[in-house]
Amino acid sequence: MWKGDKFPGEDAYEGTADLLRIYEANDEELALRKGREIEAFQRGLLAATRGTGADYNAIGFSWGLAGIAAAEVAGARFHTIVSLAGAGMPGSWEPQPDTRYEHFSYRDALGAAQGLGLVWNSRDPGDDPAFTSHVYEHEGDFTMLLPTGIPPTGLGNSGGEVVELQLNSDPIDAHNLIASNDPANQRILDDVKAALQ
Amino acid sequence: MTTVRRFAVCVVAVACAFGGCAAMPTYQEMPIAAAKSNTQASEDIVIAMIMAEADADPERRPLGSLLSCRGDRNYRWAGGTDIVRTGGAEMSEIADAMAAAADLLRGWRASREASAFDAPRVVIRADDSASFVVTLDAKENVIRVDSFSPCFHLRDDESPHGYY
Repeated sequence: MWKGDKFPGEDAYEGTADLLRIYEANDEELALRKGREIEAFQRGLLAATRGTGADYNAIGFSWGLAGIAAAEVAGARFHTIVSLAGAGMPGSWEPQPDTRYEHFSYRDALGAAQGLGLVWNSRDPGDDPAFTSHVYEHEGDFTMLLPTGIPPTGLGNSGGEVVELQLNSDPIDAHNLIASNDPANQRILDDVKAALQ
Repeated sequence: MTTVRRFAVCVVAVACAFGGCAAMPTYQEMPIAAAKSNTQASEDIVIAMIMAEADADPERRPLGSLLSCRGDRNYRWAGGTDIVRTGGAEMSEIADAMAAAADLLRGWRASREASAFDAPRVVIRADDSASFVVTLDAKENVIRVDSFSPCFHLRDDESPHGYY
């Protein structure tokens, strides 16, 4: 596992996340800097394991995917990249032809923000064709149909449309679940393992 | 023509209303061995449902481990059984039959699902919050049963580290 320096919104003393600084997660320069660090880390791994026939896979949870995509921008290469509710990719990112991209998520808070176009200028793994996307049902999921002419966010809803809202009653827990050992997440852990085999 | 657009929104207020702001749960104290044996007893029922449909060779993983639950010193035991199918019904038929059978048991709810790569899967949840995830791999001819006990409070004289 790689974890270098502070991540977006991270309190330097407590190590906890400050949601009021969530905007840092959209800072492309920060992601590109982390990407260069991850690429350097991979160079070290390559030096240590050259000739062993090892696969080089990367799994990024939430903002971690932005760091991994940025590492590709910096020159890192992977056999498979797995997004666990991944946030997005920098504008300069291009998928690599020899890399397999898989995205796993629940209906969660990040997906909500992504659906509204608020994350990484809508360049997210759930919508990017390079990724095969797998969205799982989870307790608390529900769908809400809003009648025509009632924009829930004021963002781009025109008349004559029905807005279908994909929701979860606990969007933060649903986001964190995917990186947990909770039995409810065993399905995804099994599928991630299958993706890497 | 009506256009359906897909959106997702964050409803934090609803999250609190539905339990996201709930107090830390309390669990009954239980020896690890009891959590393991209770879970394996239920797992035996799952295995029997599989064996009713397939010629198979089950091999129980002798040791499991503890996974943390919310709260201080709260854990669940996790273990399982791997079953090599040697004949009988096809994997998807086994999954269909055992999901239907499990759903009939009092206190159990079963859902028939598929993995991201189309392997049949059955998820069983018991009212006491024990759960079982059964993944049927037709390519390898292996059925994997992952079993999880309900959360319990760990006794002071037992350690959460190690294999049990």
